[in-house]
Amino acid sequence: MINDFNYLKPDTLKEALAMYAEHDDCKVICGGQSLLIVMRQGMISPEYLLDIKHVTELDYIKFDKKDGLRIGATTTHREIEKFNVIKKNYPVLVSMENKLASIQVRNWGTIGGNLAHADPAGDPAPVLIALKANIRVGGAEGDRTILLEDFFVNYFETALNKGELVLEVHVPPPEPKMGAAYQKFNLLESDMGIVAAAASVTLNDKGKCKDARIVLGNAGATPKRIKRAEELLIGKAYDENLFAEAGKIASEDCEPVADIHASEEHRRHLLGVLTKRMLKKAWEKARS
Amino acid sequence: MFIGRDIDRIDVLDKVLGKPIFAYDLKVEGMLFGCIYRSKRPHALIKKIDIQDALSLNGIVKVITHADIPGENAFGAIKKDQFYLAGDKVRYIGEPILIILGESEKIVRKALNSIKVEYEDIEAIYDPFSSRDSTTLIHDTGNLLSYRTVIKGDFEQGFNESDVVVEHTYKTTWLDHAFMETESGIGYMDETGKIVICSSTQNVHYKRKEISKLLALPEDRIRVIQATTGGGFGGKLDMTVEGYIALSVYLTKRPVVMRFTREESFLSNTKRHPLYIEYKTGAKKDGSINAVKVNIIGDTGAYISYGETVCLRAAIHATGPYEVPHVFVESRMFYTNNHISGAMRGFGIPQVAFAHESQIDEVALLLNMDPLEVRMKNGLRRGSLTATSQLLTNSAGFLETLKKIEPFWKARKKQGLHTGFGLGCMYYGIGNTGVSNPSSCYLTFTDEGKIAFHSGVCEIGQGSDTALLQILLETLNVEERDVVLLRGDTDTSNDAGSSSASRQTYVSGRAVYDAALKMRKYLKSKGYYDCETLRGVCLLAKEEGLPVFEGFFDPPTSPVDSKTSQGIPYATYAFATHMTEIDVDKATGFCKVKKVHASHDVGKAINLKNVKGQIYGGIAMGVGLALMEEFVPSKTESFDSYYIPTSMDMPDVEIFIVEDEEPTGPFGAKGLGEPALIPQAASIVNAIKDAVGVRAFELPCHIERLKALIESEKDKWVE
Repeated sequence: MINDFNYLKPDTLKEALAMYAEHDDCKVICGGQSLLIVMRQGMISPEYLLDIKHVTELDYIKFDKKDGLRIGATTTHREIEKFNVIKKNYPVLVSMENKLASIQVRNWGTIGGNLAHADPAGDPAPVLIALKANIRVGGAEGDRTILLEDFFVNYFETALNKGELVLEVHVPPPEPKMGAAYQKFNLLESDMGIVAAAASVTLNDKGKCKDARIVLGNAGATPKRIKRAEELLIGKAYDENLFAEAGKIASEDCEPVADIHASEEHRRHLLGVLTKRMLKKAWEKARS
Repeated sequence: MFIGRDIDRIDVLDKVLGKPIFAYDLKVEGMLFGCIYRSKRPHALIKKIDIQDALSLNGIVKVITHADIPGENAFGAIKKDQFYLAGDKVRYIGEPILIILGESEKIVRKALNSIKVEYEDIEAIYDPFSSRDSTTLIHDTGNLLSYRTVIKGDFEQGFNESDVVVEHTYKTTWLDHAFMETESGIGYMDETGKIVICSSTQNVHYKRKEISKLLALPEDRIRVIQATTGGGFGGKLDMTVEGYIALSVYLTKRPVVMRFTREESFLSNTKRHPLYIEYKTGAKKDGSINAVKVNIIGDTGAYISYGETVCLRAAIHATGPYEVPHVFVESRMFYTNNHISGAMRGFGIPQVAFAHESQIDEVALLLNMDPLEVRMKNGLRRGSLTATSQLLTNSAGFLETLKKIEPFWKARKKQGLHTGFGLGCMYYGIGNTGVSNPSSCYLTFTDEGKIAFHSGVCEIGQGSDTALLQILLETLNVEERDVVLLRGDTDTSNDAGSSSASRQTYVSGRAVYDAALKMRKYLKSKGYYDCETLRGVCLLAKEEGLPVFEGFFDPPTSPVDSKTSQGIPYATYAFATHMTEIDVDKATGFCKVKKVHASHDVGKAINLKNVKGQIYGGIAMGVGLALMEEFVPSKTESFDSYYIPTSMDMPDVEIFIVEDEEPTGPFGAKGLGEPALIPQAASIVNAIKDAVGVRAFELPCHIERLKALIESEKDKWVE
């Protein structure tokens, strides 16, 4: 049962930030697809809910070839999924969104809410980190931009200071000869991933690896980069054994926790398999 | 013509528009909210119950204990062994001890936390084997609930004559019904002093009887109404909220509502029986099955519920849809301190089908025969004797279901590296086992000049309202607009028995047909089929004091022999064959169910769309049984920790209907509800074997189990 709360409904960002600064024990709600679950389970019972659904200033998607992609925090998953420019320039984002829960959830859930909730099983974070995204956050005192990979601190914990909201996600412009891939492993089509892996590969003129990122989901307290495997790839040519080796490193370096859905051992194994497969897929996309 | 037509369900438009009021949504002015305080121990004596802190909370109206019960503190569908509220002893985690009533749900749930119970623990028993060997008794009668045997021919001789023998042990686990609507209902006292209960249920007359005993009131002082019900699958056959609501209304004289949370539902509802099945099959070189020996051990949990039924039904169906000359089956059901296992779609047969279908594939493998050919050779048909030596004289379309699948089986082609195809077959006795299970109904006229159809059949989403109405319309040759359906209310209907055992279309359908024939005769006598209007006939009927036309049917069965179970346990059987195509990802252990060809002998499809709907649902449930669903006591709390397939996980399904008409059924119909599920898991397990060469002996064969099986066989692989 959801406990009673006071409902705050700002119309502008300025108003929202002022209200947020003013009220202690206040949670931000927009789509409510993550927050309402934990409230219903009685895990949290905030005194105030700040509903930013009507703060239209944060509902936008902008793309510029030089600047890259900017997505406002209250943009829904469904909007991202259906945005043609994203489909063309960042296809991995669309394929990730396609598999995020169900259409009903994507119609309500927002990108800002998803990231701020900081569930290590969340889908967007590993993909965005693989694409080297930044996140802009701000409070009544002003805003700041940080690397998305530095945004996640612990299970359901972020680098947001008191009174700060997620404002925008920024993805750098797509590089030539860059490919990215993401897959979560789930038993049910619309479920959260038991584990997930995102990879991006950028090739040089000789077709060798210039840069690579491997980011795992639900493999620890936060989305986890496997830097040891990334370094292994630099300067190398396409080689399936190399991907297998990277997968092995990923299963060693990840820190998954066992629960009723899968043992730690099986999660490590799955993360290795997914890493291998996503690297191969990303590389092949980068080549084409 | 109404029979066999693809007409829409009569409730479909309202349901998609969100109009029906489900039990969970019911409200009455001034109602109290009721919650159940449950045992936190698996096996313990209750030493002391302190309710003072709860009572002192503002808004708490009453806390009810076993001592407040005016009548019998006992209920049970088969035997009255279960307590509404525990007195001195608890036997499982979740057993009800108190009812807390208050002005709001919030205050009542808060009060739950301020109850203090002192227990003295007793050794708890968590599996049937420990139960068998333990000196700790869960009930005074001993830990063995039920022991049944099926003996036909001479199994020793049968094995001596066999050329090959296959012997394996199969294991299944607890499953939750996972109906969409959790257990809920309301109750109030009407202006005449009658206690009215309106709940989410699969039966109304049974519940009225139980409440009458509980409150020591005559049945005519109690009225049970079925609210629109969001699924049952066997989980709403037993008393869920009804007794507690009735007791609360009786003691407080106020309206009362109860709604279980999903967590309460998982904790308190009955589960599918976990069965341990030792199975030995002997076959001759030509593929004929000559002998079957089965030993079934089941865990019924702390109380009986439908444990005895499952024990016997599993034994009777253990050979599957095959004619076996020598049969020896033992089936035992033990008490444990686990959750109560009860009725769940198939009453134990999805579990035994997993075993007999695995066995028959192994026999085929050993003899280097096609699995479909072995099934065809042994399949029950007209003139066959079942394991209980029942002679099948009518409606035995098993071979036809195989023939429908045969061209697809022969044309099967593996698309991927680890694609597999598997067959699963089943037969299932329609109605209750070897006991009378009648249905009755009545027809009369309304003041508005329509036909009033009084039905006690609970519509739980399976489509019985529509099927029964089609039978009525066809028999009377009237239109849907001419009939008013009054359903699921003990005040306006006769007992039709429960919506269980796939029996309503067959048993109640025949009762409706019986009533309709009588009314048809009356309509004819009044000239309806010549020139008189229905309104005109109604006026004449009114003058005659509104005649009532009663319908009745009790399937012709006989009790089975207590030692050998030989006899006629069911009047008719349904048959089916499923063929399933899967893909296995060897690296991860993930099994994707891609396509199912399902063929069912339903006798007669009263409503083709509904028949298909049942089969789709059965397949979804079978996918869960085979690959995902597993209730782990003390760990599974809600859907967060219980996987169940969603619509997005459904394979493609192609359906083939066989109509070998059953002469005792309405227009030849039999039942389908449970058969739709039964062969599915078995066909998946056989497909896994085909795909990656490993056989699952334990369900669910979830990713980690499958991965481990693949690993254990790795050395034998040739890629």
